[in-house]
Amino acid sequence: MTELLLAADPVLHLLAAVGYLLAFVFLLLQTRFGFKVGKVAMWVGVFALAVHLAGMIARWVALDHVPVVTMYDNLSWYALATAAIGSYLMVYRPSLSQIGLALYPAAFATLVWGLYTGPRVENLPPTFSGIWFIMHIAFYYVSFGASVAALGASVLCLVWKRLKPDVMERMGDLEQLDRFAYRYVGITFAFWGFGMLTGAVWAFSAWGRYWAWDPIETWSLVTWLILGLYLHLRRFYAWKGAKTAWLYLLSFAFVLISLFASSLFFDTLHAVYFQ
Amino acid sequence: MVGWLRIHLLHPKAIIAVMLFAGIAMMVGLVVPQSPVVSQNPAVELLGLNRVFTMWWLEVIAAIASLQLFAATVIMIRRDFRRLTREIGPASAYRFSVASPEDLSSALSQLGYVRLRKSTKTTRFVCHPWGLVGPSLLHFGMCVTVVSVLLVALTNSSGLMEFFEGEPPMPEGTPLEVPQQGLLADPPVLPGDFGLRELQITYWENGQPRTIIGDYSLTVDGRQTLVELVVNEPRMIDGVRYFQEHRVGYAFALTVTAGEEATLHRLDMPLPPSQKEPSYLDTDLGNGDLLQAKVYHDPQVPGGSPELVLRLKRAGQVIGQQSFAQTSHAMVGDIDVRIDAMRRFSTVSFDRSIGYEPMFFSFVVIFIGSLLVYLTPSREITLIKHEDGTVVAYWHAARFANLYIEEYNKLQTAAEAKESV
Repeated sequence: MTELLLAADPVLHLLAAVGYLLAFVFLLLQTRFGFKVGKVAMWVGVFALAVHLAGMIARWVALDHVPVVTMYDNLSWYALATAAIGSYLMVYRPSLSQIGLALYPAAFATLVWGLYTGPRVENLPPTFSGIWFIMHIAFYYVSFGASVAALGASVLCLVWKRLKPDVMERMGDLEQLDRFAYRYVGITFAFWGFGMLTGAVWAFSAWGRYWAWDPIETWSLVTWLILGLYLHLRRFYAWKGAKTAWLYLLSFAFVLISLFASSLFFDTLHAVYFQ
Repeated sequence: MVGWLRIHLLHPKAIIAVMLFAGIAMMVGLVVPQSPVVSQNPAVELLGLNRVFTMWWLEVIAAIASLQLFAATVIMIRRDFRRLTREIGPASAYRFSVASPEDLSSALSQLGYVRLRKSTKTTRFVCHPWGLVGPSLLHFGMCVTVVSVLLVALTNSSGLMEFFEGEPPMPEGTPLEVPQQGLLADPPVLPGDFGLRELQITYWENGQPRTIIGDYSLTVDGRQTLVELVVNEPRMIDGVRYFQEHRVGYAFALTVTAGEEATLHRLDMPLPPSQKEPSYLDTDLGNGDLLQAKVYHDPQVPGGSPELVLRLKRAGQVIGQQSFAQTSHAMVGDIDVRIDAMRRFSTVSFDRSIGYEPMFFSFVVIFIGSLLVYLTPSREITLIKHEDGTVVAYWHAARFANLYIEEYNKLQTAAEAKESV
């Protein structure tokens, strides 16, 4: 049974990746060329999400614990959170489904990267246990998904004026996109903060210290500060439009470095989870 | 004083500048190799850029940031209290006449608006009134975190120690290794006679370690207790926290004889990453020779009977290699190596610091505050009765007003119900 589940897992992941790519293509056909395929994009996205979730559950059952050790595991969760936000928007907020133009390619790319690294089996080391650990990583997964949604809205804000009038209309109201970016940066900031705080509690029980200026911890704090800076600039100086979009692109670079690059390039305790 | 704080310390530019400085300082800490690396660049040494996280100027930035946070929190609490208890909401461009108060009241109730204030002329309803205290809670939680961190730093009395299976307990009062002592703390020492009785390691099916459990004996005032410590499950006993560290493994006591000279060495080999893979350790023998060790776990023997393999390197060249699976005495290249003893070792941290509970409680407060801010944005409506008997409703959203425009339209439609009939 275990072998069967472990064999099914990458197949389901691959199917999900294809589904995310198709959802993106259908969304693009709708927003760029005006084809009435929004519903198709929605159902393909939801189906791919379900298949992806089935893959993760298969892996979970086969490993006998939540799969969160290898790069494959983590990238898969990041992709799942990103695609889940995409599906949520398409189902419940259709006027913002165009954000899926960023969410689905991101989910696809993350998932393909995960598949490229390979679904090798690694079990949880003794320190990786307890509810604080699960909350710590889960908050970062959600935070990443929200950050990609904010990225999508910010990029659309930047390119909006260069679009043809009919495409512009389908992309939605510029002000709405700007507000959406603001809101999702807020969600990213909040969940990123929760991730750090629950991480501190977990680190305390696992390693006997809650903070140690480990490179990943520091990158994470810097990223959180930059996201906070973005929110305070909007709050204090009513920044909006292109300059906040550019500021967010910078913040997003920090998000990527914190989550994906720092554990590869720095000597860190966290490196064990992302190999 | 409050005025000065508002003007200078809480000026948006000051807040943003402090956040920027803090971010830049941390970036420097990430980019410049940090202590114990000694920089050859005198400017780096002078400014302490290679020890950013212990420099006074980072502490000054943290202190200013904390002051800003405390002051902003006080102002925010007063503001949020006013918002919660005020008789009428802020003047708003979103307004409409109320022709049908009953229909409006019913619509308000359906949409979750709660009546907070009522007088002869005004009535104020708020949707998600708890959202109004979100910012205060969020910032108050951060303040408690700052105070707790300070408390932990001042009372910090912690350190660790290695224990060997089967060895007599270490006596109470033995100074701990890697000691950390805050300004108000006692020196970190062993809280009682403490020794390792047995180390238990369980494995996953693929041979990777699953749990590490240490059975220890603790004797305080002549009373002995058995303490079981598990990785990731600290225990609190008489005000001391005990942490089973994941740094466990096999300690080998070796006598190395090179020529006429015999030296003693201890190899603390980390626990192999799995039952199929070895762990490694390099030891400088002090004469330019490098002794490379690897150890395999033996799954046939409960508790492990590790196989040690030693390799001698001199000037980058391998001189010899020898397995000690079947013997405890052999030549490795041109040196004689004897294994005098092998014990499993385990590392335990001891911590007497105060302040962790309020710190972790503050995290919960921050969590709740953030959820209130982002998930329950408040909207409010104030009905004002004018001299001529007409009633006007003023609607206001704390943030993202445009997101709730449909709600506003519903209320307006309900209020005008009679007119439409």
